[in-house]
Amino acid sequence: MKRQFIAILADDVPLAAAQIGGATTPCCVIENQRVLCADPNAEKLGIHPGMSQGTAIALSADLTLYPRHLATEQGLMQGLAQWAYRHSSWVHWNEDCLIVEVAGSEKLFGGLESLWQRLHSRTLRHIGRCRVALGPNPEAAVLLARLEWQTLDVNQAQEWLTKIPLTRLPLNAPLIQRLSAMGLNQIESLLAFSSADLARRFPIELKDYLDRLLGRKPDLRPTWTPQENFHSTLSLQQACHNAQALAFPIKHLLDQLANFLKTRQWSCLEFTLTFINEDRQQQPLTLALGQGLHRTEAMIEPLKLHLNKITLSAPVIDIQLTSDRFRVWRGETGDLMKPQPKDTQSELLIALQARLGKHALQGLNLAASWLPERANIQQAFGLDVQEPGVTYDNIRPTWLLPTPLPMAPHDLKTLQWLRGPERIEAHWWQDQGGRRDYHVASQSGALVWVFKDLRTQQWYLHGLFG
Amino acid sequence: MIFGQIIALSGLTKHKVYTVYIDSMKSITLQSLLDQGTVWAGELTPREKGRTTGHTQLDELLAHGGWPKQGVVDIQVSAPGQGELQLLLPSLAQADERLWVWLDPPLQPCAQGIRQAGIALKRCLILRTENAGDALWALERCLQSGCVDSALAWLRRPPNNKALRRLQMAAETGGTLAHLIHDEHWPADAGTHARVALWPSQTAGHLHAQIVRQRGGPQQRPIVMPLLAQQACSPPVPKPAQLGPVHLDPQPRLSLQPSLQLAL
Repeated sequence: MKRQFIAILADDVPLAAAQIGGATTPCCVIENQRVLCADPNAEKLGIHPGMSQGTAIALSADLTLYPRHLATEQGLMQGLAQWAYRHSSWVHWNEDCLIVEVAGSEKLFGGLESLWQRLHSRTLRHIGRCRVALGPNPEAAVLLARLEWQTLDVNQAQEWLTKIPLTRLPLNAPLIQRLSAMGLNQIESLLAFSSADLARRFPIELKDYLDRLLGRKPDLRPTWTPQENFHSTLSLQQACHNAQALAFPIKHLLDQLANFLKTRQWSCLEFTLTFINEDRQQQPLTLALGQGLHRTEAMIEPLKLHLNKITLSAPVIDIQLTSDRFRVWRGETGDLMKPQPKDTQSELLIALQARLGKHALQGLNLAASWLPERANIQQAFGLDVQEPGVTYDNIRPTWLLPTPLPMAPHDLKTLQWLRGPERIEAHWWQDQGGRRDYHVASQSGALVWVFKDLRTQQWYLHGLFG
Repeated sequence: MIFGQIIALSGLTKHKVYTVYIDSMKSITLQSLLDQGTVWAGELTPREKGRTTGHTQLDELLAHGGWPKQGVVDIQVSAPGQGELQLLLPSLAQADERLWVWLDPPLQPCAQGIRQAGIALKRCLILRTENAGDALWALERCLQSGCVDSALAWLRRPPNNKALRRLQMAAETGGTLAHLIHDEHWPADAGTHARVALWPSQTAGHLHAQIVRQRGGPQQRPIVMPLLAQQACSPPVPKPAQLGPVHLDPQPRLSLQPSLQLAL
């Protein structure tokens, strides 16, 4: 099968990165004192890429200039590549360009046109304006995208390659000048040379490029492979002092994480946010997600509760989201006939844990011991619970005092004895062992559970039948 | 808004049908109003069957034939351990698999006792909060989530009307029943579904219970309920000494055939 590639040149990546960081319109991104990218509102004011910074400011007073943030841009492109990986196993990305092999998955996604539409609309929605083209090999697809020569027929694209003017090739300027001085205008005219001639007359990069463009030589670009761990960075345009205000930019990172999880059918057990200030000092915040979450909306709530509790040590300029603890996502099918609960049990538990703290959630458990204070355990909620099927012959109270309360002799006189004694004798081989006679008694109407320590002859109150 | 009259069709039909015309366009049945519990109905039989309390005496007195399916009920006891759990445990043992939340219990619940009442321990979630605001938030969050069957809350101070209203709304959203357990210092007119007051009886193991106030039903006279009597006061039945089943090893099969057979 003949391979076909779609290349997407995302021109607006610097702008998208600035917008995530909180840019306002009209704005443009500046690199080396020159406008790299301007948003539609700025373009209406007459500002174009390539213009100097001074000219741009002179044209409009409302314009805001932002520096370029490569780390955020890479995160965006990587997110796009990750999404594209759902459509093809051959995906390559670099700073402003994404190339996807489409011949293999054309049939699955209902033809080339719908696949093209999917890639195009996703880029439009998540990044912004872009140029798309189809080509017989990666280099050709990129070049056709740059020229905006679009076709859905790969043979047509192959024919077009020879018609491309040499001035539009991404080669260095002296070489292009030399070619035009020799009267060579189109790629066709270069093909008249034998390859030995071409190598002798011109620098080697021309032959190299031509071979890759025409598919004579394999294109050895690294393809994107899915990562094991999640890592993404976001740079803010202005330093942020308020922890709660960070929830909005973090949502973009969580979207990326949710996408990462979705492609792998995983759910995230824990993620770490690192807030980096201007002095590159880091303040980490780790969120445990209980049994695991995979949707952005579900992750936002515990995040907001955590952000309410922390104070930032210094204004934040960069946010990093990392996660390496995942679990296979187990889908839950709700009952169609029943009203759907607002959230799942794990979402509730995570929210409660986020606001009340780790130790606020407790559960009950039983241990194999005769002594009541050892048999009844309070532990962190969610741990394994031993539930023996055995029911006790003797009644047990519903409330247990953490430590038995000594009773005075005159208290004993008010008790009305109902049931007992029940001898509990355990740990006699240890010092802290017990030898007790338990009784159920009534104390002015309420039932209590009392025992007599047979070692010291002292009476204690141990439980209430509340 | 209601300008039409209430038309009662009675007589031959077994069920009385009331219709209220609102704006002459939309018609809603009185039944739907009654189901909401906002209209007091004197002689009508209970509409929606509630959750049974597990005590027949109490079921008869409560308007829904039990605790409401969803809503907030408050229980007044003078001190913890007077029998409030004994009152609630039977109904919880019949509940579904959703969580059962304990918010700030005053003492430690005894796992053995809870298990004895027939409740799965893994359903019990005990929450400890540090201040009144957190407690109210946690209760509301649990009630509205839809994955909590019922909640038992010991609030630090009586919630104001606004907070109670929010709790009611949350309970209705999530289909949850909340029991607020409190002492005598709460205002008498708390806007809950019902208030049940408990106090110990002089007879051991018995408890006085009174429905002080309930939606869709009258106040009731105090009753005496034998909550703990049967189990706690009866002497343990002496059991014959149990011998463990004797496991007899199956007779080892001896192969009588010679292991080696000579090929003939």
